[in-house]
Parts: sequence; structure tokens; C-alpha cells
Amino acid sequence: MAEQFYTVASDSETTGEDKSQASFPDVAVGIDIGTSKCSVAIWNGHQVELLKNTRNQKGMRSYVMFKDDTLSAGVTGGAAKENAHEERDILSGSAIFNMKRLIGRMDTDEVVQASKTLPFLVQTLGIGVRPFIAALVNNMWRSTTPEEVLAIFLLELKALVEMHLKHPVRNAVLTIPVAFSRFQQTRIERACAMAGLHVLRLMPEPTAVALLYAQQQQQLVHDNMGSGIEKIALIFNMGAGYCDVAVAATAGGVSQIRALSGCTAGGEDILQNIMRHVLPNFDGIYAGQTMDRIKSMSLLRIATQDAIHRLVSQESVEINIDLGNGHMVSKVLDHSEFEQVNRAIFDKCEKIINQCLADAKLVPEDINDVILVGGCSKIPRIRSLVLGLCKKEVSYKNIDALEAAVSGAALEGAIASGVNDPSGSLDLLTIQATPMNLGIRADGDSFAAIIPRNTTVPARRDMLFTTTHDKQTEALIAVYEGEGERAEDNHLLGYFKITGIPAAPKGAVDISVCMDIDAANVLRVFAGVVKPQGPAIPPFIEVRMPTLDDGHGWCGQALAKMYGRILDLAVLPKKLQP
Amino acid sequence: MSTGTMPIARCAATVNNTACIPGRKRRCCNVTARATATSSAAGGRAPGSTRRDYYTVLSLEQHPAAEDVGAEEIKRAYRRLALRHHPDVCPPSRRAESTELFLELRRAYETLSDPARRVRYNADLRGGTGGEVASPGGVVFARHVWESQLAVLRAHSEQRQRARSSQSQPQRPV
Repeated sequence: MAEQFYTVASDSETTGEDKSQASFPDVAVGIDIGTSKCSVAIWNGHQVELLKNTRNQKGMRSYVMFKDDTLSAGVTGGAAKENAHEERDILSGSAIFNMKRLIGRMDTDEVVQASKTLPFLVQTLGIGVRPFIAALVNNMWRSTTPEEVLAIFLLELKALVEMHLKHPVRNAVLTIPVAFSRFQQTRIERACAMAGLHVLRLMPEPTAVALLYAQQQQQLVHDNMGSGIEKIALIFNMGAGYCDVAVAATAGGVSQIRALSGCTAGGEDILQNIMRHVLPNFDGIYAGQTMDRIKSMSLLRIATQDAIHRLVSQESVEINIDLGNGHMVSKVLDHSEFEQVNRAIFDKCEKIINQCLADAKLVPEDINDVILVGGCSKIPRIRSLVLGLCKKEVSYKNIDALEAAVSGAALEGAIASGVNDPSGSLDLLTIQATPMNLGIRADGDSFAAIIPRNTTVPARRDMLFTTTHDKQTEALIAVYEGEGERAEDNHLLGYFKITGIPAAPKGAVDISVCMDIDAANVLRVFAGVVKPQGPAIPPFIEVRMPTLDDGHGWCGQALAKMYGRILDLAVLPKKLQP
Repeated sequence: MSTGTMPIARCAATVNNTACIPGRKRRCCNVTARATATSSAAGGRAPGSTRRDYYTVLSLEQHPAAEDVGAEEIKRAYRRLALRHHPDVCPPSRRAESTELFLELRRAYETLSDPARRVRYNADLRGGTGGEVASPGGVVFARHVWESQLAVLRAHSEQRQRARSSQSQPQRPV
């Protein structure tokens, strides 16, 4: 009988170490789906417990295998015992991975463009639509979407959790990168819904770590009868797909996020850079997926990945591979070369750390602890960079780099589920902040930020606007999110019109636009005429954002083409603002 | 007209002091003062007497010289009250009220933490304006409108949530 390579976890399989206690049935689980690895944790009544899969792993690979018409996710990882075997399967073209990097992106995105040399199929048209993604099944490319792949993965993860806990699981807290737009967040929520999970919170990864840190500080105060003075921590998180920074002020179990900053830079980018460095004609050689190219690419990828890992503890590493078709790689890579090739990535990291410190209005001397988490935080250059910018010799030691985010998510799950712990272990709170500016288009193509970046959540801010044309009776409210000065440089979330504005000379009407973000990070926009008042004034409009499901770039251009300037508003002068 | 208009502290709902869930005292949204819902006449200013000053919001009004409280104590008060009023640590049924309370707490903290704004605030407090610079009338009206809408939305959301949770009760494993 042929060996069954891929199995799905079932009740008959146990880890043999079922230490999980009966948990509160309605406690939300914490899930950290990284670009490369994922983990799941839960508050077990006394502490956070990371769950293991049937291979006794806490960290499971983030991928879904589409093979022979059966699906299996990295949760179980099949029956393969050696890591290299699993790695080759992942890179066979039949598995979709990096879904966290691909989810919610358009085909004009440089991350999507860089993904076209992955072994599975990524096709782009370059016009601002979703990329076409497919996996190799029975020698045919079968299409799928990152949301679908993520949902399949989450289904298996959910099954794993329910097997451990012996009861259904409904609620989850998931960690997300700081750089995730609200649109990408809706994609995550949709994938969770497809898997039968309700998202209680989407938590930026470094803020999940901040919550764990707050618990530890709380414990320290209890143990030492300390004064509980405020501590400032800089949390740096770099995984395979994203890099995030947060500054958190912590005391008395409360962690106030003072600043957040993030970018799309991670281990995958480093890997791509090194592969192109050791094989200069990489893009030419691997243009178009053929069977031999897919196989050759997987050899290069595995060898390069291995070299990068070894470089963490060695001065230099050798890379020797026969890629077939006469292509050979024989190279010695040392630290300085590694750092030179990836300089742009390290510059990006430096930039977001400096921005985070500036936003928090702090200097390096104000930082008490530097917390480094994520797989890439083990890279020597990364460690020295972050510690150097914060003027610290050593990083905070009591947090595991790979388990911190999921542990924090599980804590948040317990707190948000209303769990009451008599020992006071859950007398905790993370006060979140918004990672990006939120506002509308005004004054031509300018971006008027109504809720600025790093505003404490829940948040409610409003701004006054006025008409730009005599007898203007309608106004277009286009809601954007991002850091650009021009509206077009930001991410369009949605739009609506205010109609029935009283005909009057321009500037004579006051229009208020209010943005409200609740504790679950739901954004609502309220807008309407506030001056003049009377029965002829239209009711306020309330819209939950984002409303756009696709085609942001197109939509922005179409709105500009259709309406031009005729529905524009202008910001009222500062002295007239509430 | 003042160029630095301060935000208006306002609650959209009345908080009931006595509504505590037995056995879960830590999670109750206890308040030390009653937050009052206000109705605003169109174009008119909200009466000053119905708004709590920020020292009261931060439970610092009992301090012998409230206006001389140090920054560290203000921060400590903010954190202590946040741990009680933030929506994350309140029962879902009280999320709407706790959001309002937290927003007010945040406004009070931000104003009193900024030395320049605090000086201005103290002067206004002494001047008997109720602690707030008058805003254009329309803004008061606008905020009242969307706060009412928010309250209604949240009430509906909580109803649906309760209905759903009561439905899911029978399905829970024995």
C-alpha cells in the first residue's frame, strides 16, 4: 500500500501530552499566522498555553498543500519526518504559502510582483486587480485565492484547537502586521468567517507583545512589592513578511501604545536578495514556471535559506548547488556581504524605528527595555541595529522571540472574553493606537487627516469643512487611509455623497465629518450639514468603512474622472475647528 | 475668539451607578460620579453645570489642591481608571457606556497632561465657564447627532449579540 503522506488531524490522533485543562467554553483563542510559521495559544485558566500539533510542534508551517485532490495545511504537515522533505513539498508548486504576504494586495503591488518567481503560479496584469494565483494539481494549475488558502488553513487550525479543548471554538484574536491596511484586515476577517471563526480582535503584533510585557511587569511588581513605576519598552518584530515597531508605556498592568510603525520587509525579502546575489541571472533563468525550473528553484531556495540560518552563528557559509541545465552555484557568503546585499532592508528597519521614537516624542535614553521578537530578530545585524538605535547593550530576556505575539493574543482573548482570574493575572489592558492617518480628500487632492496616526483607540474626532462652489448642493466624501500628503497616495477605503446641501455662496455652509473607531477597531464615518440648521437640512449619513471590496486604484481614478472638482470640500481654517 | 478650542466632554448615555454584576466586581463599570446625558438646543451652548470638569473625570477633585496635582499622579489616575472603564475590560453589555467613559477619560488626560492646555483649562475653570471654551453652536449639534446614532447602533448590536449568545447556549457541550 502506498504511503499516505498527508493526513488530517482527527480525534484518534493525540499528542500523548494532553495537559490542557477544561477551558472556559467561550474564551477566545490567540492565533498568530505568520508569513512563514503560525502558532495558536489559549488561556487555560491559569496561564497562556501554546498548543501543539500531532507532530508535537508549537510553531507550524503556514501553507496549504493542494495535491491529488486532497487538501492539507501546514498545521499537521503530513507524515513527513524530516524538515527537508517538507520543505521540498512546499516548494513543489502544489503548495500555496506566503498567503499573509499576498492577502489583500493588488497586482500592481511590488510585493505581488516579487512573488511571481515563487513555485506556485502568480500572474499579474498590472492594472490594479487581484492577482491570479494557482497551485499545481495533477499537472494542472488550479486557481485559488489567498483568502481561500488562509480559510483552509484556519479550518485545520480550528480543528486542532477543538481536539485539544474538547469543545467547539468560536472566537479568536489574531495578530496582524502594523502595516496591514483596513482592506487587508477585512480580508483576514473574511477568511476567518469562511473557517467558522469570529474575530474578536485583530491585534498588531507588537501590541500583543506589549500586553505580555505588561503582565510580566505586573508579576514583577507583585513579587518584589515594587513601586510600579512606568516603564517604556520599544518592541521590534520582524518575521518572514513584515517588520513592526511599537513604543509602549507600561505601569500597573496598563500598556499604553505611544507609537506604532511598520513596513513590508522581512525574511522573504532577505532570501530573495541573497538568491539573486548568488545567481545573478535569477529572473531570466526562472521566467515562466516549467517543471524543471520549479524543481531547480526549490533547490536554490532551500540551500539559500539554510545558508542564511547558519550565518546567524557562523562567520561565513558556503553555498554549493547543482541546479541542472548547466547552472552551478559555488559561493562563500560572509556577514559583510550579507549586510551589503540587504542594506536597503536594514535601512527600512532603521527608518521605522526612528519614526516610532519621534512619534512617541522620546529619545533613546528614555527606553527602559528593548524587546526583539520574530524570526529575523535573531539576525546579528538586526540585533545590533535595533540595540544601537536605542543605545542598549542587551535586549529584554524574558520573552521568547517566537511565542510572544501569540501569547499576547491569547491574553487579549481572555481579557476581551471577560475572563476573571482571582489571582489578578488578567488585570491587564493594552490601550491601542491607530497605525495610520485616517481622513478624507479635501482642498483639491489634499488629504485631510481627521484621526491622525497614533491616536488612542477607541477614538472619535471630527473636522469642519465647507463648500468650494457657489450654490454647491452635493459633496463627495472619499475616505482614505495612509501616510501620504495627497489623497491619491493613500488607500481609498470608501466614499459616499452628502446631498441636499442648501444652495448658498461658497464657504457659507459648515459640514462636519466625524470618524469613530470603536474598541474592536470598527471605523464609522458620520457626515452632514451643521450650519445652517433647519427642517430643510438633510439627515446625517453614517457609513461603516471600508466599503470598497476591490479595485481601489480604479475607483479613485473613476471618481476623479466622473466628478473632477465639482463635489469638492475645503477644510475650514484651524481657528474654526472644534 | 480663542484659537485653541478644547474638546467638549460629553456622554451620550446615563451611567447607572448601581448596575453591578454580582461576583464580577472587578469588571463592573463603577463610576465615582454620575455622567449625565445632555440635550443640546439647536445652535445653543450646552449648559456648563451639566459637564464634569476634568479633575473630577480623573477622580482628582478631592485632592486638597487639585490644580497642583503632578503629572505623574495624573498619569497614574488615568491608568487606574482606564483599567476599569476601557471597553476591553468591561462586560459586552456595557460596551457603549464604557466607550463614552473612556473617551471622556482620554480627553481629560490629554488636556491635563499638556502643560499649556492645562494652564488654559485652569484659567477657564476659574473663570466659571464650566471648564470649556464655547465651541461654534453647530458643532455641539453635530456631535449630539452622531453620538445619538452611535448609541442606537450599539444598542442594536448588543441586542443581536445577546440574542446570538442565548441561541448558542443550548449548543454548548455538556
